[in-house]
Amino acid sequence: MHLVPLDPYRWQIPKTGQMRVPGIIYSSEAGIRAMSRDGSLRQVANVATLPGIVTAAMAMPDIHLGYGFPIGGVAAFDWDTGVISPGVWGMTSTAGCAWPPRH
Amino acid sequence: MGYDINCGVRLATTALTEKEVRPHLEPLANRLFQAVPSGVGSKGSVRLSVRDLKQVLTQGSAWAVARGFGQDSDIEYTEENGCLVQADPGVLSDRALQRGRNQLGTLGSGNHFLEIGVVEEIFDTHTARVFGLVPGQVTVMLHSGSRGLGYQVCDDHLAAMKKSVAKLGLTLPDRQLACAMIQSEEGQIYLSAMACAANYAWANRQIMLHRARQTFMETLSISPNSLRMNLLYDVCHNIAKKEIHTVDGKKQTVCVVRKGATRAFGPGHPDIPDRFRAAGQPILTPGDMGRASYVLCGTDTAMDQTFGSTCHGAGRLLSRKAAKKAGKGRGIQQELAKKGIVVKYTGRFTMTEEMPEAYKDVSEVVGVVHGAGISRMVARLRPMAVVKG
Repeated sequence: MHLVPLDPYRWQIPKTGQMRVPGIIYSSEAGIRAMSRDGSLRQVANVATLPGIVTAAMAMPDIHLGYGFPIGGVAAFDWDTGVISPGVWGMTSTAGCAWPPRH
Repeated sequence: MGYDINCGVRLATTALTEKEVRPHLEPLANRLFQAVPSGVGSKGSVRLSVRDLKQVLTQGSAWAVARGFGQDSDIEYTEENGCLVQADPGVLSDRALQRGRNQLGTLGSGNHFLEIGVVEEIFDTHTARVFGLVPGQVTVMLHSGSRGLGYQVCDDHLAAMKKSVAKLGLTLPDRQLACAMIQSEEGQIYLSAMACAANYAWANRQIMLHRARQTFMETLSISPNSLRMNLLYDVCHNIAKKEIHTVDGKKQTVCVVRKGATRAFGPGHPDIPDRFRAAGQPILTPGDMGRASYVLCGTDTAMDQTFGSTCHGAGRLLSRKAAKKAGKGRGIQQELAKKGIVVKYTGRFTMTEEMPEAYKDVSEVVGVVHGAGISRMVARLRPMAVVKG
């Protein structure tokens, strides 16, 4: 995934395809390398496609792969035109801990 | 359950020092392990009728405090005062209600824990004083959520949302992002159900804090005044909330989703308790059981950049499966004991799945949010004893 460094702690996923806003990742350079491996940055870009999302889909430095929405993710949706998704709480088909997701 | 609705953390300070607690650490950990049931599907000593449960779901922390599980100030120092008002138990399934009846006051499994810690280093003397933190002070940290009830709420609503996506004519890049318009019937019903689970989680953590207070007093034979186990703050790190933020210079009402992220409101925000308002909101960032946890403070930069949000912890580095493999044959409990950390646990694989190396170094994670300015480091805590599911 193409990432643009904004400053030593912030990286941007530029708006492409269906994305309505860019993605912003808070991370060190070493952290970004680890994140790039598990698919969680793709999830940030996916969240950026949801209706009503405001400013950016964001991720914190403790991000990892979640169910749909990455764990360590932050997003704000306009109260009148935005959506809400129950999947964001990290469901898995089995009881127990939700990581890694089984699907 | 790992990542459930209103999974969150609370931290209580005490008047005790490490020196005073260390000689009693083993019996203290054992008694806490008994007083706070843990493990998958664990049941608590609070059994509720459906009628009482519905009161828990609408009142949250206040329900627990009114029944003697805690003190009035606990409510003030809980995010949202421990209650989301949109809760409507009428929208929950029978199965969700049944699952909630006997799990109040239980820790659960996975990464949830109760930890006795000690304040090891202060980074911001003024804010630490405002938060009531001093070096060498013993603290109690709790990490848990809405248990089986919260899980069931997700399960029940995911099916309904899949239908809603078709109705909206949305093409989603990932089926797991099934959603509904916030203003639709499905969206509002979901938010009411989510609020019920959030309130359940607050009552759950409130009851466990009460159990911890009782256990400390009994084990150390001390009075409430000698213990002074006061709640510093309780944060949720898995929740969606209606908030007003400034976007492009204009006030906008938004639904902020923090999934594995913590609210980090900056100085002056009206939702911060009076005592902390000038400093900023306390943020609790637990690490793994062998290294450290942090207390941070919310900033104006977080308000400007992240809708007042920051990190929630260390974040996993290894999957549970990989950690189990990497830790096979190792005596993690003994390794931690050598570092002076007592661990009590329920699950057969808990120690390997939750070993320190399975997590990122929380100090690095905190270094990023501090460096970026979306929160400020106040204090570091070191674990002394940990109770796990």
